[in-house]
Amino acid sequence: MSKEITYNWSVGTIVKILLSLGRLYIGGWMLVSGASYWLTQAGLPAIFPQPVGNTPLSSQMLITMIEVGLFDIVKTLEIVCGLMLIFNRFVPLGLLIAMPISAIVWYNAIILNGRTDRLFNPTYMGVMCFYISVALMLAYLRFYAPLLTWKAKMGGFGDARKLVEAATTEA
Amino acid sequence: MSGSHLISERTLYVASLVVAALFLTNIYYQLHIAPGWQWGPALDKMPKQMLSDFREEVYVNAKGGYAAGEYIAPDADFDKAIFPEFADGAEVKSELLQPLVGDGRTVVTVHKLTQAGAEKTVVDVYHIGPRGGRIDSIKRHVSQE
Repeated sequence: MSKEITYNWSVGTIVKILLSLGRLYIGGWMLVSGASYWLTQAGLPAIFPQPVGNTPLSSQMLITMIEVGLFDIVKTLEIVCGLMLIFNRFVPLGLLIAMPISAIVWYNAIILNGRTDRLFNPTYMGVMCFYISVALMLAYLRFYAPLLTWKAKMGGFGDARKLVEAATTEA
Repeated sequence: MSGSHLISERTLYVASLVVAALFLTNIYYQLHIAPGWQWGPALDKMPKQMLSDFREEVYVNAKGGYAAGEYIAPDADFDKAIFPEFADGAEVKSELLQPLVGDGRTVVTVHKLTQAGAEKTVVDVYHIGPRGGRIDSIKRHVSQE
């Protein structure tokens, strides 16, 4: 039997819907981006040609990342976090994975490619993926708050159980 | 619109997956179809790999005309007169004197060209365009030795 959820049409509900749409969109974008790269690696047609930058610095960064194999990791993580965000599973972890990827995409678009005219363009995912990631992380802030523990003591081996507990709990 | 409403968690989840599928379709359309990519052998390759494939077509398979059409942008900046090998069937051989040198979207080839028994050492500087992945400029420097 599925659980029933009670809701009111309030600002809070609308914000949650918008954030959920953001989660689904960034998840889809990550999934397509990662899948396109791996389709090419598998010898299949890409969804879109991998951009290699519009300026020398951007090209150097992207081509070097591809040539040294770092893109294999990035694109795999994009697929993993994309699935997490789409299926609403392990979302705080998915956002944690998406954040550095989104930040580098933003840096590449604005700093390296100089697209400052599109800094707040809502249709430009080169920047929007970062802003959506930030907004979503704020929405899930309670999961990251313990990271700011002022004086943290080490745990023990028994803490591994907490991973299993967290992975099987709704919060 | 006022008051409390009930919705099952399963309905909400299924609705979210439907929305995700719509988003995925839209993203696919925006990236794959809307830009109107001219798909071909030059596209979606790293610059050095693209140049390597281009050279194979020109100098090994003697398909310079085909290669120029597929790998070089129609408005590319280069002097066609000094590239006789960019024609199908051209008997021009190339031997790389050092590995391809790549820096971003610029690739440099240092090679020995042999045509009708005459040899010359040539440095070609290729630049790959930012969109479309095709060569948009070639500068040829011929050794005076």
